[in-house]
Amino acid sequence: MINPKQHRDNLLSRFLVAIQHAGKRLFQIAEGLADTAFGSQNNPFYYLGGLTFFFLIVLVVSGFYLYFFYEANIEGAYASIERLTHEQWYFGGVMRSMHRYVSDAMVLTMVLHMLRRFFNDRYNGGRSFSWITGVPMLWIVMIIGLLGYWLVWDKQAQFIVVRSFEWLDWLPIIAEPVSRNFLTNEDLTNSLFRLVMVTHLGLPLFLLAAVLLHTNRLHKPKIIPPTQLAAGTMLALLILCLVKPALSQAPADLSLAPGFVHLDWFYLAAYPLVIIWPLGVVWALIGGGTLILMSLPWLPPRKPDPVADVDLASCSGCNLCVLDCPYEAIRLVPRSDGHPRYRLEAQVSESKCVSCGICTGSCPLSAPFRHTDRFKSAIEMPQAGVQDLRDKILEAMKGLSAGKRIIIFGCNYGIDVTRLEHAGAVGINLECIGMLPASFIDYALRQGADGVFITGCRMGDCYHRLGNQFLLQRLDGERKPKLSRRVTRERIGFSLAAQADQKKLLSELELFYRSLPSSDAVEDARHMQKGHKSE
Amino acid sequence: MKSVKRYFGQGLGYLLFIAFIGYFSTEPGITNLPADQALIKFTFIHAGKRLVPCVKRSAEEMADLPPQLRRDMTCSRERAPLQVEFEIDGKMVYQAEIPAKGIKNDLPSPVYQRVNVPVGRHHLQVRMRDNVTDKGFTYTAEKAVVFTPLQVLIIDFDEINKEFTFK
Repeated sequence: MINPKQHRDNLLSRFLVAIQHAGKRLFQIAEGLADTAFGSQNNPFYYLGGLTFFFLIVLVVSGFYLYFFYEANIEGAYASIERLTHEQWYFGGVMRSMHRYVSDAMVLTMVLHMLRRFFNDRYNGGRSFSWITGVPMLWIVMIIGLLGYWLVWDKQAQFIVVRSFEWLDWLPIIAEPVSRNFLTNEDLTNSLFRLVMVTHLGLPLFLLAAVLLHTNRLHKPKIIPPTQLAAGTMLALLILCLVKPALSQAPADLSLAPGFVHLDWFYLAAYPLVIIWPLGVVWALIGGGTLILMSLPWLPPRKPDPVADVDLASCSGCNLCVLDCPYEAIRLVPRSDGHPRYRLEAQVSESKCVSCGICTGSCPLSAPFRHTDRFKSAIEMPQAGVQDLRDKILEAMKGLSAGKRIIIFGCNYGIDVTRLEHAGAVGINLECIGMLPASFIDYALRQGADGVFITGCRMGDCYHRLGNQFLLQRLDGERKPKLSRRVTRERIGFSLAAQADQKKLLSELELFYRSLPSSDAVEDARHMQKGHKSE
Repeated sequence: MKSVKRYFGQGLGYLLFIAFIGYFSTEPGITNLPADQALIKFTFIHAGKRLVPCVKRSAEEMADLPPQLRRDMTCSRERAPLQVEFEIDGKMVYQAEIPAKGIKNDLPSPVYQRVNVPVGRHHLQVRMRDNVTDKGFTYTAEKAVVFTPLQVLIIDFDEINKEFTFK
């Protein structure tokens, strides 16, 4: 079950869940292999959005170089690119090839990015804004690509221009067929080529603005891939440019139809359908597909979880939850209660909050040792507060018999730890592992657990973006609120694993279990500690 | 040893990446038009005659109108659909009634039709009627053409000379 907290019990829901489940498994296998080869820090699957943006930057840079040599007129368009390709093959030709292959790579990473978001169910609720701003970017990229191919003015360009306008002319809103402007070579004008070039240069500016909008609601978006990954990708593409340079096909000639055409499938995958299917059906497929993509976050409508709740009486406006919210859903505003000591209070945006609970993990008041009648954090999820978490730990401890006792904390999107079968271990699932306050680990150990084992989404691939990373930093003392120094790290196991990694997780749990001192030794140590204290 | 395996894995990953891009950036190709065929584009834009002919206004009608609207003819906007036929070697390949464009059906009717023909000699006949009063066709033309592979022939309508053209 991909999203267990939401009710999805109709036919459409079951269909979507089945597709997502299958796709997620495939991605997890590929990501697991990439994790082994590249490490989670450089896993390309975790930087698909960042790679797309990086490719866009490379496209702009290489495009500017090509611009200086390109002649935007009927006679010069094809000839200038041919000169650049053959007479300056060592740089101009490489730049042209790079421009082309990077544009293809951009489409590839964009599509994979989108598929991955869909399969992992990361496109609805607070994330729907990024999704619906992302879909039109696909169209903008396609149009930029088609215009770029037009500029080459070879047989592929002729094929694209003629077929595109014939396709466009099907729309009933077109009064006079635009295709009639491309009947003969005499119909073409130099100003048309200049217009196409200016549009090809100008649209990427819209794309850059769209990227800003797309990542607007994300805290620290990964828009630039790690240097090693970027360098490796560029080196690989450079090799491709040298091994298989991008070349033009025969020059365009409107008096001769293109016969056999080599297609760039990253941009022209729909064009074979334009040839063989009725144009209305192709429009229905492409237009309908776009509409479905745009409305996916609401298909089917889901009941949103309650958003994070701020307890004003406890909130000191310390800013930690603001710094940790992965969706920029929390901000500090002037206090509304006239508190004599604190000037600010946390405020949660309902439209941005995805109910991940990471803010609970970042709140210094999420400390279970406090003696208070009403145990509540200053910010927490109404459906999963710290009182509830403390009760779950106490309940879990009751279920553990003699011997080594381990409490496992997991998340709703990794492995279901409540179903793990391991003697001496009881699991507690959280919405995100990042919502686990570090002090609760200390609490679990003080309640009699011999060890705490933590799992969650793979590093770099947290369902809630940064939860696992934040928790790890808190345990390492690099992020507030930190884990108490009195807790020995040997008693904490950490294994981040996707649903496909259950065997790996179980073996690491077993290793952790064995590494813990025996209960007798633990008991002896406890007695000794008590002895030392009483002395 | 582990790092060697990792580098090998990375190399393999990058190789798959560029192989995928390198292949699908040009292959597989498709046939837009078979090499033993030519293409005829039967296309023109022509406005049908008005469905209701223009009528001259009487002096009384003119007097009733505000000064700026006093034109001596009153015309309906709606235009007749075009009746179009295209035959190759006596065989009908395209026959249609093309309605006038526009919300009020007052714009010209566009025709744009692709017809593939085998290379060689063919006899082409085109006909068009642009009103609802004539019984036959208002404009007709025919021509024998020897097609070469992938040749594009445009059959258009010359609005100045009111005749079909083959180019």
